[in-house]
Amino acid sequence: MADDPVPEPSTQERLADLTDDERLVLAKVAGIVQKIKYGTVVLVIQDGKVVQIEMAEKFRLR
Amino acid sequence: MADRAEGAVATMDDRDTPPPKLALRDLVKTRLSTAGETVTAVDHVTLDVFQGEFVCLLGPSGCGKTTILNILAGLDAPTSGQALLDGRPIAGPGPDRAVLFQEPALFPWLSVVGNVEFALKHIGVPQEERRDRAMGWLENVHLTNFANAQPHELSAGMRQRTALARALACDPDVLLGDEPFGALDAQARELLQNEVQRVWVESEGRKTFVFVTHNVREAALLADRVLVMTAAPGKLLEEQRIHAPRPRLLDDALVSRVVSEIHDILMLEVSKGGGS
Amino acid sequence: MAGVVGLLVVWALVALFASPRTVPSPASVWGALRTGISDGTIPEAAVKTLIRLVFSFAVSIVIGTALGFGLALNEFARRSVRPLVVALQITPFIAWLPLAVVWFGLSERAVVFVAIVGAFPSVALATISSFGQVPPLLKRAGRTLGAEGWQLYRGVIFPAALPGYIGGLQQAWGFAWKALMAGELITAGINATGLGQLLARSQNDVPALVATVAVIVVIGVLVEYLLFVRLDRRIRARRGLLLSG
Repeated sequence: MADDPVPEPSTQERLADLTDDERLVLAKVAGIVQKIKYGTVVLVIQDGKVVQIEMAEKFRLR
Repeated sequence: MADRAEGAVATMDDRDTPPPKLALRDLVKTRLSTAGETVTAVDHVTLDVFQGEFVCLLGPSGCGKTTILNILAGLDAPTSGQALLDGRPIAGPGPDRAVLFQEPALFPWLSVVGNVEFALKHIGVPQEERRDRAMGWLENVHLTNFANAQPHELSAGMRQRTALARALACDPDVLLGDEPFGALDAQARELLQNEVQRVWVESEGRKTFVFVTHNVREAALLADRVLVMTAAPGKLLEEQRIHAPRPRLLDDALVSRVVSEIHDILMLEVSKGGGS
Repeated sequence: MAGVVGLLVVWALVALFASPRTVPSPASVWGALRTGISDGTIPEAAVKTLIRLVFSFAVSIVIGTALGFGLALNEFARRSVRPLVVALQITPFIAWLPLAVVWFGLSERAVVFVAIVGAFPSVALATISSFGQVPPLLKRAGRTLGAEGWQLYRGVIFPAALPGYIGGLQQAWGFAWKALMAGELITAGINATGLGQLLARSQNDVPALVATVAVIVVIGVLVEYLLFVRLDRRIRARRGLLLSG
């Protein structure tokens, strides 16, 4: 019994475990990823919570 | 907490469609070099700046960024293409587009407050009101104690702050900056960068700032949009749109990341043989 | 002050050893000075000379400034005419005197004419160069603040050009003074006696000669210091242009 590897939780199970706040953050990040082609997203965390989402979007002009 | 996260990702794409505050359409600027050759300073640049944006033009010397700024200021004219203000061709300089030069360009025969009053005079403020309003602008940049000093008695940083007060006294729609912090020491520069950030934030979207710089950190710190240019001839290379609230600090994670990305592309250009 | 005292001492010593005809003693000169003042000849001559001087200087300023301003505005005119003005400035004003006498006779007008011709080129040239030296950055700053055309001139260009212009006036004053003296000396025969004519007439009265010279020197120094140096210093101090020291 002790030798059986603990199965990785599925994405769905992990999502179900999240608080509403956490799900909101994920949704926002997903939204950003859907919208921009090149860029950076930064999550600023304080006291274990995401307090800020910053992003930079890069456009190639040439 | 979720609400703050919400506010921080204010997207710039939800623009309504009034015309851009400033626009360049296929702008070309050439000049004759001393050897008599035609040098292209700006090579077919098209660019929109919308009201309330803080844009930095960034690039090495010779990339045409100062030329573009002079054209926006009305101090220079395009060789071909258009430079538009509120949809109409730019006719000349004026207090609606105040300029901060690299040298403060204060008038040495006037005192600090006199310099600010000069700006008020030329936007039609009556004589009786000028002194009070000028002092108000000086208070905004924390220089009231030096109101009666002559420019040569001030440090470079204080002179540039006076120049900032004078430029803001015009109540311009647009503030243009031609490497305005380039000649300052690190401390004075940081002070002024914070002042400028503060002033822009306080304008609450009414004022548009366009600054030219070759300092990558400064551009990432101040701007919503950093337009990276390359030299010889001057072209737009890439744009970084930064969505991070202000005041920003130099060690901000996003700012640092953007800075290194810009450095990368500038290095790439140099190695390809373009620009210094 | 120390220089003046030293000069007096040296003078007194030299006078001890030289003949009274060549180097009069300070005492005899002082005596001649007192006589000249009390009997009115010196003050009268000084006033006449000063009136001529102020007049010629004023006319030189008007002509020189107008000419200089016109040339500063128009590049073609400047390139054609400026060399002529330079030539005029370099020519010793004394060369004009015989011609002036031909035109105006041996009169006060001839003397004033020479003084004006001697002085106005400096004013014109200083006007041109002071305009040209206005830093372009200040003009651009003025324009971006909304000053154009005449407003730009009044608000930026004139104040910026002022130190150079005053320097030109100072130089012109010197020329006018010298030209006037030379002119008066040479036209000694005319009736209206200025200091220069006084000099010519005191030929053998050496103490009187020296006394008159002393008056001329003092007037020149007084105007220079009380007017020009003070004005120049004030204007420069405000702009931070004073060389420290």
